[in-house]
Amino acid sequence: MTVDTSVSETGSSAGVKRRDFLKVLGVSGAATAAVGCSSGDVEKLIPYLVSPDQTVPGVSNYYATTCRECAAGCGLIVEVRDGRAIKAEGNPEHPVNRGALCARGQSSLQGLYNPDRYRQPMKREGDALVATTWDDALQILSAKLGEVKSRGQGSRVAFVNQHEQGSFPAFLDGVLAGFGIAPHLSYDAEAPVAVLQANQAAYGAAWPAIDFSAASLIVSFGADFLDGWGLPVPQQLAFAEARGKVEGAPRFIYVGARRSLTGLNADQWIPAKPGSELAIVNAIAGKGSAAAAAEAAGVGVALIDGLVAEVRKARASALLAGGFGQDAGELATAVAELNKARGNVGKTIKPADGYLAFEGVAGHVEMRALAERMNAGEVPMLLVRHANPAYTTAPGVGFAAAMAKVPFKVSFSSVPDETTSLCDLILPDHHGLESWGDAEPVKGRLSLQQPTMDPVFDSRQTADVLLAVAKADPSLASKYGFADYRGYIASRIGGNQNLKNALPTALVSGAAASRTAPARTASRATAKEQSGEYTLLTYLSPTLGDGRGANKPWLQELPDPVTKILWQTVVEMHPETAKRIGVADGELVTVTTAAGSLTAPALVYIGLRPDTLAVALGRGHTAAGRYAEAGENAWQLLDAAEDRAGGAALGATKATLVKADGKKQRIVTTEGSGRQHGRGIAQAIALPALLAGEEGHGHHVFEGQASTEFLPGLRSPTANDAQGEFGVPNSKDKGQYDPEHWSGAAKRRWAMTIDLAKCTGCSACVTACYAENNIPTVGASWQGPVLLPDRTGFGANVTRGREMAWIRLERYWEIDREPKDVVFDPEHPDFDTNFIPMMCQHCGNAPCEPVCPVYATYHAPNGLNVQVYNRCVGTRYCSNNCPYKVRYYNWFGYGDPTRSQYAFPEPLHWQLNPDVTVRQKGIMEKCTFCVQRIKEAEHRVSLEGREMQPDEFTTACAQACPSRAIVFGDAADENWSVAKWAKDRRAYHVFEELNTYTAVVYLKKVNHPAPTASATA
Amino acid sequence: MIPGMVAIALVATMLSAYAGSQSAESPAPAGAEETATQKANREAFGKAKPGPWAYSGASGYTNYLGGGIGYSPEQPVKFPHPVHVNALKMNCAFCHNAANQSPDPGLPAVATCMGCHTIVGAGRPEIVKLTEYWNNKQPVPWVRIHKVPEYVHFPHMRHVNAGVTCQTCHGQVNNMPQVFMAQSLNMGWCVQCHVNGYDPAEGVRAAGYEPDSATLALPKKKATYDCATCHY
Repeated sequence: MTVDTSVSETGSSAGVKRRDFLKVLGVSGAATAAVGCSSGDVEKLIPYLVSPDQTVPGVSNYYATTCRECAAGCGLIVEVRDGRAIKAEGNPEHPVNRGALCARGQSSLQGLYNPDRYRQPMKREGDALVATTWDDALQILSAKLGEVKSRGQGSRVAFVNQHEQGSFPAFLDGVLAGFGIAPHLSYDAEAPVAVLQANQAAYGAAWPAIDFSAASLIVSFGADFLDGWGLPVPQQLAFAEARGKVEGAPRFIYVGARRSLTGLNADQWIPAKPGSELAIVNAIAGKGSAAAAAEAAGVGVALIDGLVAEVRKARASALLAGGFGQDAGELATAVAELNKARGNVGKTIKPADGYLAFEGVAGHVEMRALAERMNAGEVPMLLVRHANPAYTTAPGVGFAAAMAKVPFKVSFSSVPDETTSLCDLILPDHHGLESWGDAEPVKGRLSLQQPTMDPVFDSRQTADVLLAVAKADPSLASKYGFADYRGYIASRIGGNQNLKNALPTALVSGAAASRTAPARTASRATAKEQSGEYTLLTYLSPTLGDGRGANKPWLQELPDPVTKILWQTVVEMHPETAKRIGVADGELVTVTTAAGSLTAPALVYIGLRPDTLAVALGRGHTAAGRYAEAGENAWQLLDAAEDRAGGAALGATKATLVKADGKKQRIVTTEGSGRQHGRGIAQAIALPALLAGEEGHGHHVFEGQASTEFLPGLRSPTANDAQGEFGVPNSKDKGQYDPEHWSGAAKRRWAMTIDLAKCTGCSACVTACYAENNIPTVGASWQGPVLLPDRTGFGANVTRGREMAWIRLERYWEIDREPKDVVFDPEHPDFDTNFIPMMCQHCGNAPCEPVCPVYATYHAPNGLNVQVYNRCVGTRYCSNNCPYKVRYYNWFGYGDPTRSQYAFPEPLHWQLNPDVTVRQKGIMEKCTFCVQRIKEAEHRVSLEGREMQPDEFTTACAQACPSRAIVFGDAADENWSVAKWAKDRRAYHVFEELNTYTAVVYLKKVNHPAPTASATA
Repeated sequence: MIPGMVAIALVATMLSAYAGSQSAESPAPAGAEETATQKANREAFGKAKPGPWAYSGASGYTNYLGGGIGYSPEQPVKFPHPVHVNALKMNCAFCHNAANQSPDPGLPAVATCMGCHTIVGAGRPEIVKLTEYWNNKQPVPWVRIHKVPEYVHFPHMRHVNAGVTCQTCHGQVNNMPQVFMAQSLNMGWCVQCHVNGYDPAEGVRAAGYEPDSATLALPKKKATYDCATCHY
C-alpha cells in the first residue's frame, strides 16, 4: 500500500497521514500508552514548621546577587523554589552583563550543590583528613593565629586568596593585620597580568571598556576577548551588538598562532608565529618593515601589507593585545601606544568606563616567590582560600612540594583541590551563592552579593570565621563594630535599611573598600634557552578556565567551542604536523617540554600553525572531585619562565612531539562532520553581496507550496497528520486548531530567530538549557553500560552519541576538503567558520510526528511540537525521521537514583527544576521551547487578569545568550520582536527544501571581506 | 529483535490485565487492615458521588499512591476537618493558602495550628501530640492522599480561580472525620471536565449547597484539552 501523498482539491499536498504510515508498517491500530503503575508507596507531605515570609510554596522567589565564577563580577538573579536555588540568570539591570550569563555563571549552581564539597570542617590526622566540628576547628585556628601573633611571625605568614573584587580583600587585610600578618596575595591564574600592567601605565586604567560599535576595524593580537582574555560576557555583549549592525559593523582581523573561539569569529586570520605579534605591531606603527614582520611571523608579506593598510585607513580601530606570550607586556605597551597614535583612546578604548575586576591581582611570579620562601622554611603558616596554586602553576615552581615544608596549612576552600588536600585544617567557606559580599565592577557602582538560600552544608563564610577569631582576641574586638560580615557590608552602604532597599536589584551607588595590594614581585624571567621544534600553547579552557570548573559535569560535558572535545584532553596539531609524525585523530602522541610530558590523543585542527601545538588547560586533576579526574593536566607542561610582568607565559613553551607507540583512543567529540558538504545548514553571506540584494529577501518561495509565513491556526497547511481530521483544509471541525476557537489556543505561533551574525559559538545557551530543563550529563566514567561494557572511561557515552544537549552548537569549516588534508599556505591560510545553534525546530510539518506509533509527539495548536513523556515507549522512530537530529533518547536511567548511570548524585538533584519532568530510561526528549516558561507566563497573566505583553518572557537559551542572538516569541503577533526578526532580509530556514516549515528562523552570518578584495555585485 | 518481541508480549499482557478492572463499589484499600474510622468513612462516603465528572476509565480504583477512591490513611495527628470547617467556619484557604496563587495548594505550617492550639484544647491527647511535634521542632509528617504522577503538571490556582469548588475534586472534606480520596484523579476523569465543561451549579452542589439562580444561570467553563495542557 502506498502512502497517500495525493494533492487535494485545494492544491496543496495532503502529506503523510499517521494511519497510512502505520498501515504501511503493518502495525494496525494505535497502541495505547501503558497506564501509569501505582507505586503503592506511602508518601509524606511535610509542611513548614513556621512558614517563611514572602514565600508561596510552588512559586519561585528571585534573589539578586553577584557571580563569583570569574573575576568579572556579573550580576545574577537566582531563582529559588521552596528554599532551593534552581536557576541562575543574568541581572538585566547590571552594568556588566545586562541580563546575560555565560556557561560558567550558569554552572555556579553545580558548584553550590557539588557532591564533593566539604560538608563540615576537616583536620589532618596522619595521612588523612577527618571530619571535625566547628568548635574544634575554630579553636585550632585561633590557637595557631595566636601563636603567630605572639611570636611576631606574622610578616612571614602567607594568605593566598582567589582574586575577587569588592570589599573582602580590604576586610581580609584588616583582619590579618590584627594578627600581624602581611596583606594577602590575591591570585588569579586567569588574569592577563602583563596586559593589566601595560594598560595601567598607558591608559591609566587596568581594563578599559572596549566599544566595538564605535570601531570600523578590530585587530586582536592573540587577545581572546570572547574566550579567556579579560571579561568575556561584557566583551561579547559589545562585540555581538557591533557585528549585529551588519552594515555598520566593524571588520575583525585576528593575528595569532592558534585560532581560538575569538579567532574563529574573525573575518580574517593571520597565523603569526607565537612571539612575532610585536614585530607586526611595530610594522603598523612604522617602526619596522612589513617584510621583516612577515618573515618573523611566517606568513606571506601581502597579509602584513594588507593589515598595515587597513589599520592606517580605519577611522576608528580597536587594537587589542593578548596576554600570554613571553613578551606580553611589551606587546600590550606597543598596542596601547598604537591605539593612542591612531586616536582610538576615548573612542573604542575607553579607560574612563573601565572595569575594576582585576584590581590588585597577583600573578604567577608571586606564587613562585612564595614557593621559594616556603621551600626555604621561611613560612610558618599558609592560608589558602579557593585558590589552587598547587595545580595552576608550572611544575618548576614546585608549589606542592614547597607546601610540605610549611608546618601548618589552613584552607578555607569549599571544594577539594590539589592545594587544599595538602592542608592540615579545612574550614569550608560558603559557596558564593550562600554568601554576603559586594563587588565594584565599574567605578561607583556596587554590586551586592547575598545568600540565595540557607547553606547546603555545614560551612561558614570565611569572613565570619575570621571575624569570630578576631573578636575572640580582646585587643582586636573593639575594632569591629558589627556583628558579622553582613553587618560590615551594610555599614559600608549606610546601614541595614539601605542594604534592604538595595537588595532587590543588588545594585547601589558606592565604592568597595580599597586596599593597598602588596607590591608586585619583580619578574625574574630570563630569556631561557628552550629546545623543541614546536611552540606549545597551553591555553585557558573557555569552559573550565584555569581548571576551577573541572568538577562541574555541565562544564565537562560542554563541548569546547572550537574543538568540540569534551571530558578529554587532546593535543591539537595542524594536519601537516600530524602527517609529518604519522598520526591520525585519536592516536596517542607524547608532548615533551623542559617541565614535563603529556601523552594524549592527537586532534587535527586547521586553525593552528604547523609549527605550533595546543593543549587546553583545566583537566587531569588529582584531588578535585570525581568529575575533575577526566583528561590530562597540561599545567605540568608549562615551562617555568614568566613574562616580564610576572604573569604565566602560557604561550611560550617549546616542545617536542612524538607518536606514542601506536596506541589509539576514541576521540570524545560531539562533532559529526566538520563540514557542511553543501547542505546549507549554517549560511553566511558577504556584506557586499547582501547590500547588492543578491540573496533575495525573506524566505524562499517554492512553486505550488504554501508560504512559510507564520499563520495563526494550523501552522502549516501541510501539517495534517498530527491533527488528523482537524488538519484537512476544508474540514468543518478544527477543534482547538481553529484560530477562532474559544480557548484561543491557536492564536499564537511560538517561534524563534537566531542571528548568526551575532552568535559567537560561546555555548552559554547549551548550559542554560541544561540548567533549566534537567538535562542529564552522560559522560562520567561510571555512566557507561554496565552489561557488555565495551566503552569505558570519561566520555564513553559520548563516543556512542548519547549526549543529551537539547541545543547544541554546530561548528562548520568552510573548506573544500577534509580537515586532515588541509595544507598550510602562508599566503592564503584563511578559512571561514560558521556556527549555528541547533535545537528542535518545532516544524510545522514535522517528520517526527506521523511516525510515532503511540502519539507521544504531536503538534500543539500554538505551534509547539510537544513531547508527551509518559506516552513514549522508546521506539526512537521520531529521532530516526528527524532531519535535524535534535531528538535525544534516554538510553540509561539518568534520572533514576537507583541506577548507576544516575546523573545527579546528591545534592546535585536539588538543582532540578520542579516545573520540568525528570525523564526516565526509555523516553525521548528534545527542546520544548521552554514550554514550562510559556505555561508559567500564561498562568501569571490569567492570575493577574490581563493580556500577555509582547516579549514578556523568553526561553532559557535566549535569556542567557551574551550575544543576544536568540529571540523567542509569538511570530503570529506583530508586536513581538520575533515577528519582525523573522522577516529580515537575511532570514532562512534550515533544510527549507524538505518542507518542514520550521518555527526556527536563522539569519545569515555576515562576512566582511578585506576592502581590496570586495566582490562586486 | 528478540528483546523487541518480548517487550511486545509483555506490553500485551499488561494491557490485557488492565482491561475490565472496573467494579461498582469502592473496594477496601489494599495493604494494612482498615481502622473503624476508615471503614465508616468508606461506607458513608466511599462511593464517589456520581456526577458528570466521575468518569473513572480503566484505572478508576487505583491512584498513583496505590490507594484509590476511598483511600484513607491514618494520619500522625487525627485532624478533624468537620470541627474546624463546619463548626468553626474556617475556609479551606485559611490553611491551604497557596491554592489560589500556586500550582501547589499549600499545607498549613505547624505554627498555623499552634496559633490557636497553644491554648485551645491544650490538654487533649491529639493536641498534646501536635504540641510535642512543635516543641521538638519537627514538622508533622502528614500522609499524602492525593497525588498525580510527576509527569503531570497540575496548577491548583488556575482551577481555584476559575471557580471550581474544592469539593468538586476532593469531595466534602469538611464532613470527613478522616480525609479519604473521593475522586479517582485519573486522566479520563480530568479530561471529561475539560471537554464537557465545569458546571458551576454542580460545583456548588458538590459542596453540599443548593445553587442560587445566579449560579444556575452561569455557563459551563471549558478548558483546553490538548496534551501539553498538563503533560510537558
